[in-house]
Amino acid sequence: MTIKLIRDHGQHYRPRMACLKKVEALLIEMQDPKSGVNSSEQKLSVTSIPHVIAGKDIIAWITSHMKVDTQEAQAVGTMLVAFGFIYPLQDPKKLILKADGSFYRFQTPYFWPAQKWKAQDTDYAIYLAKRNIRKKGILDEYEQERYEKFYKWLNHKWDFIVNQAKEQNRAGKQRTKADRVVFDCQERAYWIVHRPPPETHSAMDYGVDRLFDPNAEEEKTSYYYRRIIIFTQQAIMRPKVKSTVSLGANPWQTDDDAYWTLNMPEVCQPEPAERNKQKAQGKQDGVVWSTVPQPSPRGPPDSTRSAPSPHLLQCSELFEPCIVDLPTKMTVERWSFSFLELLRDPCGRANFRLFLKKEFSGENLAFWEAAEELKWGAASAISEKAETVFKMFLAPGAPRWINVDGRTMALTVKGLQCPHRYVLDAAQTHIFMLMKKDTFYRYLKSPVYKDMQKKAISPAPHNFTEAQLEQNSRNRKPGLHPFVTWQRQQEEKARAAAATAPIDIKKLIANKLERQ
Amino acid sequence: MNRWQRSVGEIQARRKQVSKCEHAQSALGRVTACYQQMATSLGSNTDGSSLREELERTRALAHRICTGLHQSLLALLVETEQGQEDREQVERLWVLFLSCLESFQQDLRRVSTLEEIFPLTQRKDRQALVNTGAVGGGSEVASRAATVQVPWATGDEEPRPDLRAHVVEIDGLLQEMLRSVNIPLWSVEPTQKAWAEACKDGQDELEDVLEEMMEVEVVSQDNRASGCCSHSTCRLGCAFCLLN
Repeated sequence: MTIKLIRDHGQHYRPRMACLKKVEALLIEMQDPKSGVNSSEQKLSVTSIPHVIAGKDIIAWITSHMKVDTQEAQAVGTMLVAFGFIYPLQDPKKLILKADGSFYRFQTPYFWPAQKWKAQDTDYAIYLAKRNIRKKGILDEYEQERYEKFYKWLNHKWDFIVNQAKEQNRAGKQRTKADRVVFDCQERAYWIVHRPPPETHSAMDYGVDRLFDPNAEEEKTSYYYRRIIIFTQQAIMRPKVKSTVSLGANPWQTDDDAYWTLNMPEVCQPEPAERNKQKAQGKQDGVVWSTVPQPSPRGPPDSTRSAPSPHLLQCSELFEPCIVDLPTKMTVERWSFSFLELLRDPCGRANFRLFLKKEFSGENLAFWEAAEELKWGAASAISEKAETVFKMFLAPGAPRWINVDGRTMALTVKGLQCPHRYVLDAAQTHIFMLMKKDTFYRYLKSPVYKDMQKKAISPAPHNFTEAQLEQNSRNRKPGLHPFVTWQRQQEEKARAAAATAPIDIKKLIANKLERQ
Repeated sequence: MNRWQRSVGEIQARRKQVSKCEHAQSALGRVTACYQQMATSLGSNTDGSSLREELERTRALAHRICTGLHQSLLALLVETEQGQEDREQVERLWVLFLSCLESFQQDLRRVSTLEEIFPLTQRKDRQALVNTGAVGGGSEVASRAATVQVPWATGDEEPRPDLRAHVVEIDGLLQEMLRSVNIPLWSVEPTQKAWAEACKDGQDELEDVLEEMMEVEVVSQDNRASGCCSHSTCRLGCAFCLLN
């Protein structure tokens, strides 16, 4: 009937909300008339409703009962409200505990949150229909939307839903007015927790449901055994290089650190000054020890008022990385953070290329760039590019022969027989590591780099006030359409082709004759 | 009697059956709604042994209606073939019956858990009941449930199952129903349109008052200066009567 796709797989073994049971016990103690929170009466125009508690009383009680400080009591109280065990009377949509005299009431156990009963759509639909029957037009916009959706999805049950709504209304009318107000508040609070209004978060959200029981034993079928066999085979075949060796780092560096170094190089590298100090120390010992990687700030501390960013200047051209004549000081400093940063920035790459030209070892960078092109380029051009790369870099006696170890070379050459996008990956990584461990540090100490540092400009800080910044953001227009950029590129290419094309003398003479 | 008169008689009998089922369905709806309303006060300060007894009685009544309705609907389904006018209505009733059973079963599960958490066997257990602010018991609701007529004269022959067994029984019933009868859910259309239930001219005066009473609490605390009086129209200030 109601499609029960999500079954209770393992949830009762490992409930993800074990706190709910504990909170229930806490709540039962709280509501005790003798030793619980002080309660008072709420006076309405016609009647008065007992058992109302004030926010500050709740916090005082929690502080004394659980022997914690006020801040923690506030957090616990907010948790109680967020789960729906206590509901606020004055601002029902905001589920926090206010430490002043605002009023709360205990929720009836029927509406307590429980992970095993998921709040059903049918019940929510009945609730919305009930409110609609009572007063037309009282539903909020998001509730109206949900109502419409339910009418579509629960169409087959709609009669039942409307019928139940009417009957529940009529049954509720039998009660006294005060009780009806209480019940309506309770129900409203329940649905605010379990079907939160848009852009709010429900405390009952525990993530995705599990589709299988984590405690159930898997059946040992032939499929299971086949999976295990394939897995172990691949594990044996995998090349076993220790991460420390492949990264050339400290042998005490754990795999965890290695992961972070590889994936967030700019965060995990120590600052340049420190690193130079370490290198100096390391050279003395003969072993390079690095300290536990400390996160270094990615940019200067005061990044709000320095180099104008493309966002502030509303200049769309600046979004594309382009080679400028004079990079800023910050950019130049950024090149020293990690080799990857240097290569990413086209200015940095150009500078590095210059340095390598002086050292007559440009083939490494050229190979790396060629491999990148192969990776990111068109699929049709792969075999062609692979051919050129082989002839230029890898063949014995090639003009720009790169120095990789024998195993990698053998693998690459073998792979080139059936070239694919990642055929040069092993060699590329090797070359990258080579450049990073050796050439990069020499570059940072070289006169080329130091020259660039001197030439780099400190841009003038912008003078936009907060209001102007906001204005800028509001007036932001969409940048260049990619089609426009592509068109421009095509035009440039055409012009370049025309410039380098062999000059057709006949046409030239014909043009001259025409002009005359 | 020739065929025509016989068939007319058949049709009339069938129509009567169908209308009986409709009445039974609405009765079941009423009983389950009352059950739900009573179940909401379980575990609160209005809970008591009388409430639990009334819950039991309502459940027994629902059980009787359920079994009777199940049998008659099955019989009707067997009788009517595809294409006859009553078939649509019978299918609709079938689907509504299924949804009602499901919702009722969920309520039953909740009630059994709550009764476990809040047993009333000892005197000190009453302290554990949550003070929710309600005052009256569920007796009025229960009396409404009790007024529902069971269209079948089954009497007290069938033993009524206890709570857990009832839940399991409904489970089995639902599975059997889904397995045995092949009615696609999308073929059932409701008789009501969306938003149609709200278009009632004679909306109760009482309802407006209720909504306003609930809204009183939403008023912010900024206007403390508004002098409140016990005048019935001055609703704004009355929430702050607590201060004096």
